[in-house]
Amino acid sequence: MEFESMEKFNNLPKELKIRILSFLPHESLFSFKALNREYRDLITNTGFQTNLIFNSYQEFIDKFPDALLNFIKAASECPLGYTYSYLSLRGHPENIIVLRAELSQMEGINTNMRIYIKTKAAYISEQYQDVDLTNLNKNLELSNSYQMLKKILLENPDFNRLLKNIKVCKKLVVREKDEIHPMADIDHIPGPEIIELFAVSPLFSRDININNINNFINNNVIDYESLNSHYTTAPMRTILLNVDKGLPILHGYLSSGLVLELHNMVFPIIETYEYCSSGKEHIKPTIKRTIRLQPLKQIDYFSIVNIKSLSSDLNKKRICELKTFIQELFCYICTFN
Amino acid sequence: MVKLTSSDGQEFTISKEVAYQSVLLKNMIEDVLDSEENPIPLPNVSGPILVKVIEYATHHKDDPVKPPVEGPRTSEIVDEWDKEFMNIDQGSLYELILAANYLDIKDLLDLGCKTVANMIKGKKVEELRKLFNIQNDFTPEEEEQIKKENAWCEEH
Repeated sequence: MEFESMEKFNNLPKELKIRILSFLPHESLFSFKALNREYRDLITNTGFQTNLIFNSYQEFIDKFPDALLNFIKAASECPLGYTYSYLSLRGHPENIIVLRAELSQMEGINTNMRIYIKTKAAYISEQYQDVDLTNLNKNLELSNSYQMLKKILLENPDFNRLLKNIKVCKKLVVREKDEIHPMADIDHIPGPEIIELFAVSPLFSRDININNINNFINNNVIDYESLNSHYTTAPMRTILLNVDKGLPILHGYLSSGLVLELHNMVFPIIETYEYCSSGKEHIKPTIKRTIRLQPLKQIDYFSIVNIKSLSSDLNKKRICELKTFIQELFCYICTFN
Repeated sequence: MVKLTSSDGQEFTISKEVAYQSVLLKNMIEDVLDSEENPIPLPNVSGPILVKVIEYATHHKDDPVKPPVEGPRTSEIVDEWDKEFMNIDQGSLYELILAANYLDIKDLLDLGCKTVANMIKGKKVEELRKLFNIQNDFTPEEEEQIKKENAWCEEH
């Protein structure tokens, strides 16, 4: 009788399973992930809270040195419409520690805004140990700010341990989180092998009538040219707008054989950037950009909202600061030996 | 007053105050001109489960709006009445969760989810497989990979 009843759990809709799992501590989630493929994928590919290391903003500050504190300050000054500013660094999800700071703990802050910092702990999968970072370091063309960042005193041993053990994985995926999600009170943790960063600007107008993929389909063929000319994902826009730092980072990644994937939550598309070598040594490899359809089921939980225009000079300045900082931090972490 | 009809044809009359605990019913009542005369059909909720839902909604009808929970999500159920209320067989528990989801009663939904989470918590992989009758469909390589990946968690 018990078996029969408990089997009903398997038949619950996915969102209800996730809701139940979201109440479990991370140890239980790891057990759940080991059950079978279905649950492994459910836990790996769907967003929910796995762990919460810090119980208060103060605890978070105490643990982190100035670098991250500066990031939080910059993020906290972001305009309200940029609902989420988050930086996520992760090797692969199994080794993740989710460090979460609730900005609502700070006075005068948009309570909708949260920072997510996901990084990994000491255990490194053998699978990722052979990633060659030599070219990455060489090609990053480090900025002065990187040197400055390196001088920051990192006295906290826990933080040092975390930083030292961050490794870059072979596939780099950047996703933008949409703030209006049926499970919005649950942390979003996307698929494996992900480094998420700088989703600080709104993707499109977010008017559901405008952002309709059907507007770009003619005779059952997706008009990628039109899509490309109208839209790019926010993270890539961030890279492209910051040529001095963003592009060297991108080149550094690509030249190391890594592939950059940009998932966006409005259109079911994935942009991919990778090096395309001509085979001739004297000819510089070019960046190949492809754009393809993502299975719709991956984004069917997301809906779209209108947000206010965010074009004031003040906002631009703050966003610029935030972008710069994130890129510097990203650069710092990627090159940490 | 509002009339509801369950999937098995039972009719229930409840106050609007109680009905408004459900977002779905609230919207329906506002859309239907005369819900006192025209019962609202609830094809996804059986009579016995609707009785439980009404019991919950009646008990909590005067509750103040809860502030957002700070700190980590836990499965702890604080309210003693809620604990006793969820002392039901597992078949009914899942039906209640589905009903709460359908009727959009967030607190009841969370209560049901927490109850199931408490049944899961602390169980090892093999125990969970047995409990949910789940077949292990991993290849040996995949299983080895999962073990490696989970090693970090177990170490800590």
